[in-house]
Amino acid sequence: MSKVRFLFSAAIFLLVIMIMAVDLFPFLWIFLTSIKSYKELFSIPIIWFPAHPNLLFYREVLEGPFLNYFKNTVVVSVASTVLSIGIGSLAAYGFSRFKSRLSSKLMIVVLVTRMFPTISLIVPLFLIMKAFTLLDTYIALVIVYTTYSLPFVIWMMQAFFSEVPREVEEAALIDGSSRLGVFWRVTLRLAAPGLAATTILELIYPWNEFPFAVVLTQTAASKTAPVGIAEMVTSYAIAWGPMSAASILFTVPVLAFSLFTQKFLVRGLTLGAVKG
Amino acid sequence: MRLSDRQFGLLLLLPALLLISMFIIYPAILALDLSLESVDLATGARTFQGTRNYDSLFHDAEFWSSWVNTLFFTSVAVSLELVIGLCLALMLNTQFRGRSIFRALLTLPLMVAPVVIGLQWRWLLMDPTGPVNSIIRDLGFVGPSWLGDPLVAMWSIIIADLWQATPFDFLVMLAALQGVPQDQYEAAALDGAGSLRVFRHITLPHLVPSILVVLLIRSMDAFRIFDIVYIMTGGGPAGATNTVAVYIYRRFSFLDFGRSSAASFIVLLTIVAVGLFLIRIFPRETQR
Repeated sequence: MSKVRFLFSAAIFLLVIMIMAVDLFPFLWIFLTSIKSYKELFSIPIIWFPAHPNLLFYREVLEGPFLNYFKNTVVVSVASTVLSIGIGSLAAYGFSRFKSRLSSKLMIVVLVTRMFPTISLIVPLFLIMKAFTLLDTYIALVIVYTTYSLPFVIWMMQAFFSEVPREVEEAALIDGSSRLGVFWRVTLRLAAPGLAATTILELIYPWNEFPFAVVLTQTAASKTAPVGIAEMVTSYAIAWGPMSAASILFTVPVLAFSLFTQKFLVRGLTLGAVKG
Repeated sequence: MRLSDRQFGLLLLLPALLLISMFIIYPAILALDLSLESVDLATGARTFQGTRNYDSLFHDAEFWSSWVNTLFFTSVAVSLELVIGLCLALMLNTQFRGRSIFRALLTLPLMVAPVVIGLQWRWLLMDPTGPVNSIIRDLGFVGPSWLGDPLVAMWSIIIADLWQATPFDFLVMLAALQGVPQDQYEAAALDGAGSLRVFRHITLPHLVPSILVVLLIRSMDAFRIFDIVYIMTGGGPAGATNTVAVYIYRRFSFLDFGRSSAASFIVLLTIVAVGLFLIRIFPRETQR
């Protein structure tokens, strides 16, 4: 019996190692690329580990416009996340607490817009932003990211709000709080873990978004990091070294962030797909 | 004046609905409008064209092949992801040391920007200097031209998508497995049921709602795949990886707004129709 159990554990162990290898190898490869020198990039046989690890590709990236793109991404992501969580939570609260026939119809509309393929809307949005002369501004990106996050935020937050017991809110109302005060001081506090999960997942969207950014931005004034990284692919060549360095700089904050917020993240990812 | 509860509730919805109407619903209507017109880019003047854009779209072989490519990609990628994710979840639904670290590392690909994923896999699959073909060469074989061979290119895209999305299927399946009541397993063990029968009659029925939701979410995502394809192949070689999203973007980038909008509107209608159909046939309990 113990022999069978040992073999079973060994098999699980091997499987875990294999999955980890496939999961992490691309990260490792990009990192190794980023600390190589130009002549080590395309050699046959392949050079896995650089002879003299160096940060020259990082310097090349940081001396270019990338830092500016990075800053744009941070500004746009934070602004649109704050707005969409605020506006979306209010709406989710409205949907979960003040149900009427009209509001349940509107909820279906919100869910349907969540399915809209964004690529279908790039031409009209491009023309709308052009008409408002908002092309190549933060405002255009913030508006778009806020709006396209709303269906997701509303969907998540109304699930979390419906877990908050009504009795707690009613007690606060009797104590003389206003309805908005109850929402702010009671409901939102009790739904805080859900709010955290939603915020984390929501922040990833503007950070990584590409199709809208590539259409709505034109210069370093508003170009985001994904656009900047994609631009390293030209028709002639790809700057693999700087591209890898830029990818590492751009991805590491997200990875660190997601490791620190692991508990909320898994909860948020599996919400809605798993009951209870 | 004090608002009634109903009025207060609708007031809470107002900002969100205003934004959604202006920047999601109105653009959708505008897409229909544009698909019936031609736009003069210099003056912005628009002239009514009737169904001419649709005529030229339907006569564009590239448009039809983009549908074939997209459906192929969506069905293969989504089903492989589910099968692999489910198998891994079944095998790893045990306690082992370092399990939470393992799960944390597995969520990482889900966080990476598709643009980075596309570039990373393009670099990994590069022929002949990339690491994948180097390893294949070390094993004594010759790796394919992953992105240059029209027969292989779509599989390269699928590999990149598998790398990113399988962890999602895995996490959801694992969470669903942990929701299966333990006493039913114990009862089955007492009855001497084989593991295959236990899976078929106890595990699977509990997983079905989660499987359906995963399939719905993943199909919608896979259908609109854009970034990874755009970066890895740009739709090539010879249109082998041209998906509908890439088609729409390419028409737009050639300033062919008419066909781009016509294709956009058709895709929009299809997705919404399929989505509403799927939501309707879903068992009630999965809708929460």
